[in-house]
Amino acid sequence: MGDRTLARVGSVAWREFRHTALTKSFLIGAVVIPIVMIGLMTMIPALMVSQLKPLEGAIAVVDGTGRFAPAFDSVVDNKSANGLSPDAMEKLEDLGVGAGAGPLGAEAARAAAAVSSPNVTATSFAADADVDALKVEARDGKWIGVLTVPPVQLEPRTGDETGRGERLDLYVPTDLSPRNGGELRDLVRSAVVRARFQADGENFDRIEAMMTRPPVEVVRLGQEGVESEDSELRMMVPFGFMMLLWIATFTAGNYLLTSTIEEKSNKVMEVVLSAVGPLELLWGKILGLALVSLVILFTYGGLAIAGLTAFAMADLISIDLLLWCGLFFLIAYFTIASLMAAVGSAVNDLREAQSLMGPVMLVLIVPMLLWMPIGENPNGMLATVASLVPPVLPFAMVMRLGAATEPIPVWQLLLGAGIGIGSVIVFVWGASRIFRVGVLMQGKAPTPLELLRWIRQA
Amino acid sequence: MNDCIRVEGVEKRFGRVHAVRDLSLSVPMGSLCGFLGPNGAGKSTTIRMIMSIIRPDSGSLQVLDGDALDRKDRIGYLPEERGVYRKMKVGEYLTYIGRLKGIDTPTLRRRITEWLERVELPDVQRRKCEELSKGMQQKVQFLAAIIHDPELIILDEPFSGLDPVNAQLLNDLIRGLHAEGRTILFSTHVLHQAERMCDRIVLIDRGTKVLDQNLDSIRARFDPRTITAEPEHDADRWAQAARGITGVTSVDTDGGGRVHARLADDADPSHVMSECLAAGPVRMIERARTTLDEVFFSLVGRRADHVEPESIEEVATHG
Repeated sequence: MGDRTLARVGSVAWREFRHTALTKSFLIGAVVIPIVMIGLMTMIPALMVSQLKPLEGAIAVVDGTGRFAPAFDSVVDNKSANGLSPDAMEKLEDLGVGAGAGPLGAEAARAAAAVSSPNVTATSFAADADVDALKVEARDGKWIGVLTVPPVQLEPRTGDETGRGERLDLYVPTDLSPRNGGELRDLVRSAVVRARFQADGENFDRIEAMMTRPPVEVVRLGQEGVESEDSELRMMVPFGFMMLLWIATFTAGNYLLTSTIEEKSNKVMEVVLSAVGPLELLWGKILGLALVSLVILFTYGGLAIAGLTAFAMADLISIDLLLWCGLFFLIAYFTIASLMAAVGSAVNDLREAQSLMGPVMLVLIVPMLLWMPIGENPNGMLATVASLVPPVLPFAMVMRLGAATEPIPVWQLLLGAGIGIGSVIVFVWGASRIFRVGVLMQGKAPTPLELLRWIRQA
Repeated sequence: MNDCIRVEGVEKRFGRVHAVRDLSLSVPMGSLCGFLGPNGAGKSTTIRMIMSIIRPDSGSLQVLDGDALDRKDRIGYLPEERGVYRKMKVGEYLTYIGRLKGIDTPTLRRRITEWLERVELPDVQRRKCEELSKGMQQKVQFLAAIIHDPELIILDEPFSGLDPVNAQLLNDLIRGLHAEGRTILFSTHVLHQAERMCDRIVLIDRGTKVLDQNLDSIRARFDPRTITAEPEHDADRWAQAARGITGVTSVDTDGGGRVHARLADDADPSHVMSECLAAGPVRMIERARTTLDEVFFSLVGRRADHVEPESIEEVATHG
């Protein structure tokens, strides 16, 4: 390849990059808005937590036995003293929110604990109290709830009860938040259980302490003695890897499609072809938009890595992993770019392009379908085959790399890379043949069979 | 004189359409050559092959003593299907095309400013192409073809869509570039346009060359050997007198009061004309010249503006 050829390819590439990435619409649409959206998404839990109100006030209990109110107050005291239950803590930690889950996760956990300390008292009323009058008082703000307790619900159980499903009614004013309403209902149910045990003469605090399920921390044993926490969020990591690749390649591929169609429809193609050869033009466009793709990849990838660091899951990322992902990103980009360039050169407008986008759409959809099975079993038969078959190969392989519960055999990575590079050569070769014929064609869009004929004839 | 373009035995088919048949032609260095023919004759296909944008099925083409692919930087080309990047600024667009042609940016800046002034568009450099009128865009397209100072300029239907004022401006620019020593090949289906500008004519029809000569040779070859006069008074009496002049073989009078005197092959036209002037006062007298339209008609038996039922180029673009 001569110096002039390189210079021409460079000029085309720079124009493509300059007029795609260094424009207001790109910076706003592809960089600023996603950053703002991701920022908002991370802020939503914090905003929600900041708006949570602790449960405070008094409830009126219509209870002929008088045993409910003391039981309720004990439940509230215990809950205020202990904060989140171990089960609740475990659930939060599974979601990546907990003391050991980085600054953001720990902050969320602290905020959750702060609002889980209720300050509610119960006042008993006789069975013949005027419930309607209490409801009016609740509307006026005196009570945050009016509860009627059928006495049968507070009696000890023997295990063979029938017909004891009589309901408790809890009336709450409309200004009580749904979350606080749910919390109050849980306190009432716990208080009923406590009252039953107490009616049977049991020490409920002791029983409750014995019934508490201990927290269990699952630790993943990685390579070379590295240990890491388990989390359901890990399931999202392979999906994140695939989406990152998907967004970066398809956004740039779409720009390639539209810029080629624009050159044809504006009739500037032949002017450009008088200065550069069709292959120089094709390579210039592919390389220029590869830079655009990299900008997207670094923007979103950087955000993802920042997010993982915030949730103390940066151990999921290693240099080896990033290098392999980089290689499969290039394979994915050149595959998609060559398909898009071929389609763009063969049609006259975007509407015509839709009819030829079928095969490209397939490459779009298949990785989505493979996310769950590959995430579940990254070294299974399906994952292995998908990661060796072009053109979904790079998407499947990065999902396997992201799943990372066990290392992918090196021979599979090398074979996948080899097949991927081979397929890229075939795709780019086919696209260049179609491009050479297609860029000067006007009129009816070709059928897929005609495209094959162009490949043979060009 | 060296040939700037040499085409030998070139054939091109698009499916069942035989667009160019066994075409050979040469364009001498420094000439202003008109490449003429009716719509669908194969002009644009031939030009695209000369530019190496499409390949011939057979035959050979040489441009500036080599392959056009290797000579792109020395050729300026204005295609028939031409446009601009709508979102690019005029200055950026011309710089981009110039950079592709291997010209450095400082030189381009100077040339772009100079040329925009020459085509009377001094203030458009920072305007987006889409903001220009169609006529202004056409001027920018022309500049894109010549901004790199090429030795050979190929213009495919350069006047199509231009208003008379801009057509005259373009005419002057082309003549100016030719006067500076550049070789120019331009195609048109409007034959009289070429007649006014060119020193050499290549005429093709249905993909086959029918004429390839200097304009002077064509005029000599198709000289009608006729003197046309418009007598001031009685045309019939003047015609009667003309019949008696030695060297005049026949005289006709048309409905417009003009008299056409045909000359014998050995007659001296200058001598006959002075004799004619003696026959009586005239408003106008001239040696008739055959137009290229008439030459085309005499060669292919129909008018050049006759539209073929199926244009070759329309089919060609459909593959």
